[in-house]
Amino acid sequence: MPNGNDKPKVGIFGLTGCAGDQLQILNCEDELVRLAGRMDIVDWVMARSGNDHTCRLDVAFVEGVVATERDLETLKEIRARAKTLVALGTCAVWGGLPAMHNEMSREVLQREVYNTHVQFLDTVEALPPTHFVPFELSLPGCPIERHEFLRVVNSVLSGTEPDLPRVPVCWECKVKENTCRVIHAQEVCCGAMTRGGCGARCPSHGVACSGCRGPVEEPNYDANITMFAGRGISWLEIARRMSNFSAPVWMTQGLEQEVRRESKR
Amino acid sequence: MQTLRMNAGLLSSFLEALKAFGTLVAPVERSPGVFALEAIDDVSQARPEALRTILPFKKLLLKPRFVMLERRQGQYGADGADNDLGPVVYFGAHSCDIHALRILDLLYLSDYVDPYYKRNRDRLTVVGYGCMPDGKCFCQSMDTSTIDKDFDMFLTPLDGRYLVTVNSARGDDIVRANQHLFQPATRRDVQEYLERLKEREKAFTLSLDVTDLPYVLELKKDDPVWEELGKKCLCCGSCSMVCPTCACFNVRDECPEEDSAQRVRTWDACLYREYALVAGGHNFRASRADRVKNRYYHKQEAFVREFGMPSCVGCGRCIENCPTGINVVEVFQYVRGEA
Repeated sequence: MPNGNDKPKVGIFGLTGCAGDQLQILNCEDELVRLAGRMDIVDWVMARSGNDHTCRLDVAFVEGVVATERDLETLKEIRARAKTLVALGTCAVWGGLPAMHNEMSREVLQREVYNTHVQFLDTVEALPPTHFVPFELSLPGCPIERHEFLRVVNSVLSGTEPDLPRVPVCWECKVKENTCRVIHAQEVCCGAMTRGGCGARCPSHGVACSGCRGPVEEPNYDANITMFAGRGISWLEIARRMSNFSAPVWMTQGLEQEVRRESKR
Repeated sequence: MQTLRMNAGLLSSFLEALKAFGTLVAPVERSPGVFALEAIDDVSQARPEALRTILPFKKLLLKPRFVMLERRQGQYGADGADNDLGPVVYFGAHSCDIHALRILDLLYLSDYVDPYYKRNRDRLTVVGYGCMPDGKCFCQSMDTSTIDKDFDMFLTPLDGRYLVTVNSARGDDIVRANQHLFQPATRRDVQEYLERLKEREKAFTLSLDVTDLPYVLELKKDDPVWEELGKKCLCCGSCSMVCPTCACFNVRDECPEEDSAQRVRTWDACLYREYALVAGGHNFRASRADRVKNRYYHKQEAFVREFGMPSCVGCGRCIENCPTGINVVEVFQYVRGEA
């Protein structure tokens, strides 16, 4: 990607979200210094002043969801500036937690949360940026895994396409020989639906997977729900656990993918 | 082959002695009723009677993930050093495990020798241990409930003692270095062994009807049963990870940091969508049903045609580890229209 002595220009942006993915980048303390020598971070409001908000970008990272009209405008501007656009974190890829209650109207949510009408909220239904513009790469995680971020950056800087594993969390969990949270603890563990890369962090500490990394390519939601229900877990508990990350954006997008796949066959 | 006896009280001395031949690996209890193969120092941790560990011994030959090639700052790393596990003594192998080892040998050492596998295999000492089946064992049906080769030593527990079978030069070395632990087997030992064998054969409660199974599967290629199974399977890959004969792997190139590249090899499973994905985005097993079906056909049909035996040893790990309760024995009963 670098041509001549020009270091690639990089921008890092956050839409609506907790900024946890940008924080993860800052957490790459040692590596960040080395990376900074190989690229020119020109636009990163969270970490530097004197940003260039208009220049062309070789790589742009975007985290968070589109939850306001302004988010969408920002996103479109970034897209127009960037050669390679990378969705950073589960919010950007799938909608994540902000999309958890999309089925409720914004008015109801305002009333429920603030108990009054407030002026400053101009939110729309929370949707992932990937819903609006094309992305070259996506890196899920809530937050992203540092080692995966570094692999993506190093691959992009080396001019190759990062090849991240797409196996479910169960792969990593089995390889670590953890006690299965479904079989041995009768819990709603989202591991089989969820893309690995985290090293099965939660099940390795005796906690069921919450699905924070978003779905695998072909999650079998129906079979998972049937399995949990068959183990005597209440529908309410299943819905509560799965709706954190697994539904509804996941659910709808997963089902849409499924339908497309079915029609292709 | 040589048959000896060892008093039960000498087991820990025997295990201590095994350490001289490599890293001692044995089943240990991770949580109540859940076992894993681990390198042990304290020999009292060994639970050789445990029927199945979560992962089988294959992890002692090929790590779930290892670096095949590495280049860092312009220097190449040692070829495959990451998977070099050194000499290992595997204590607590059951008959099914040893049969599975033979299958892996067939796959990795016959036509194209896998150097990563071979390096560890050559230095693996296998000390078997006689077991009693539970409700998930069906090795009897797969003809793998007994073993007469491909191990170094085998201990069969009898009342207060073990019948010890020595079956290789390395096994013989172990005996010679520890003469004080062993005595010649008596007629009573042999008699008790035979009684135990009979008792064990009667103890099986699960059976899989393998009569003409490859042809039955050929006939059932388009059966709706596979579609039904596809709906039930989570494609989590657990059955493949825990299967002692599932040997597929993936290879990918990674850039972990600046000026470094690694070629990494990981265990793979045919149940994953990515497994049959090829250039151009084509996938020759795109549907879940096709992938589930493939796993059963590989074990019980394709492998039989190629090697004259199925690549399932009846250890029951897939039954124990399927979160959604898919049971291989029930699947084949269903295929035969019996359930």
